[in-house]
Amino acid sequence: MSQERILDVRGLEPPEPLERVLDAAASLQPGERVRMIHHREPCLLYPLLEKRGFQHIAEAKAEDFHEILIWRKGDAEAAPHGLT
Amino acid sequence: MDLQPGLSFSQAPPILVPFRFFLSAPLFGLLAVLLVLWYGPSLLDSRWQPMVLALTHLMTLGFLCMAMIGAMLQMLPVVAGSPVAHPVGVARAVHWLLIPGVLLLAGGFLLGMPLPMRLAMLLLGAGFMIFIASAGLSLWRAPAGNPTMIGMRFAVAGLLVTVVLGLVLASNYGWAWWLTRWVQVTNLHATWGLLGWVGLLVIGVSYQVVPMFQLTPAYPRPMTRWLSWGLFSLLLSGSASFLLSEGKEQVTWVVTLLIVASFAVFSLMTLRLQLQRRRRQSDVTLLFWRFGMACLLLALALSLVGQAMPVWAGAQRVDFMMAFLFIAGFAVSVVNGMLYKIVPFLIWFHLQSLLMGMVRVPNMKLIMPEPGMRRQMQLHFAAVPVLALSALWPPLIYPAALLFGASMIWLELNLLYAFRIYQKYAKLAPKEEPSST
Repeated sequence: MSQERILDVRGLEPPEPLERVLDAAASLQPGERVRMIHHREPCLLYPLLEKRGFQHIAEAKAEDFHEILIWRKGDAEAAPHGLT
Repeated sequence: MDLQPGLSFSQAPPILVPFRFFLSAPLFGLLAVLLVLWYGPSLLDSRWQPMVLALTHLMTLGFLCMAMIGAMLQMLPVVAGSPVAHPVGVARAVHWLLIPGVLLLAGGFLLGMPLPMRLAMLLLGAGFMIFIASAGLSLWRAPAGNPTMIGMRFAVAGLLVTVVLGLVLASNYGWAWWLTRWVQVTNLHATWGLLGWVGLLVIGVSYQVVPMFQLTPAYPRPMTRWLSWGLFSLLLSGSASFLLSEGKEQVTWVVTLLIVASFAVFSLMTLRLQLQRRRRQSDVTLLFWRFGMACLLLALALSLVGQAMPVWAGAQRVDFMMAFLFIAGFAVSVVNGMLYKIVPFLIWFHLQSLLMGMVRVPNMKLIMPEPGMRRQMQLHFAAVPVLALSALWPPLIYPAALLFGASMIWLELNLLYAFRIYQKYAKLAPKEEPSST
């Protein structure tokens, strides 16, 4: 069963949201993933995650409410809906 | 639940792509200051003097265009999701064509010689066309339009019109032919450059950077949807009225009023959004933008005075004050404020990418320390009112130039300080990582 850490970065000034989520991702244990909540889509985060060996999936629930799930590449337990 | 994989944005262009432009901009500002100190109050005798034309272009092409082109090459992949093809080559070519181009243009005005003017036309024409083609292609290819991207499209179109009109005017000097409607074409060129290119780009970019960096609510949707489009149409209508033989004055009046009203709406809305920002602390960028918006409103008010009383003896002074408030007060302030957000952010981003989490990347406040930015901002805030008042009392041009020059030197030093931090940390990058510069 995957464990999820919620990280709400709404209202933080750039690059604090990116700093916080990179720190959170770096400390992920096997089977864990991060659910980041942001008021905008953090496009610049994606190449940084990719380079560090993380995968992500993003969903815009509203114009100012974006959720991004982040997990380590290859961690099948942490990946949502069977994605790895 | 409709989960979509995150868009895979390609890596931002290498850091030197925007930085070569950013680091050059204040140096042109400084050249403009030297020119002012050399000619002194006589500059304010008439806006048509060659040294005034040289001064204007050192500021608009040398400072504003440099910074704006650098920022656009950086922002296109992020905002439009469509990077410029071959960014390194394009940036290098545009930069190396514009630098001598601007210098030769200013020299051509000052010396009144055709050869530097012809060379300037070649270099500036080529440099701008490469930029317009590259940015235009990137914007053309960009997926579903967002308001910033649409604003950028109109701004690049505005730049194209400005450059073409500029080349026509420069050819007048280069080949000594006589353009009969020289004054009107010059006014059109300035209008498209300042309102079409600078104004529309600032508006488009604001939709993205004001909510992002100043943590304000988004601009209202009807505004982001219609304003850039409306302003571009108004500029086109104003230019078309140039062809009318009768009723021209009434059309010009209506178009001017609508353009002034549109920019005033933008400026007032920006000030209002800033009052609603989530973070209460004011930072340097916010203050630069507020100051810029206030100057824009003053410049707009003066443009109506100038329009209402064109033959009034003081009209020349109003023109100078309006230009100082628009260029130095509005455009330079906004660009300067933006640089203080995007430069440390870019350095932080590139270092994150290079160092891969192995070395702690310094905080943005360490990359661009607040006290240095604040002192430069104070110099700029002191320079602009003195400069504007020099239109009424010309000897003030000396203290204005000294303050503005000190501000430009400080800006350059602040940018260099940040860039050195980048270089220092970039050396710690793992060896297999290709250098980002």
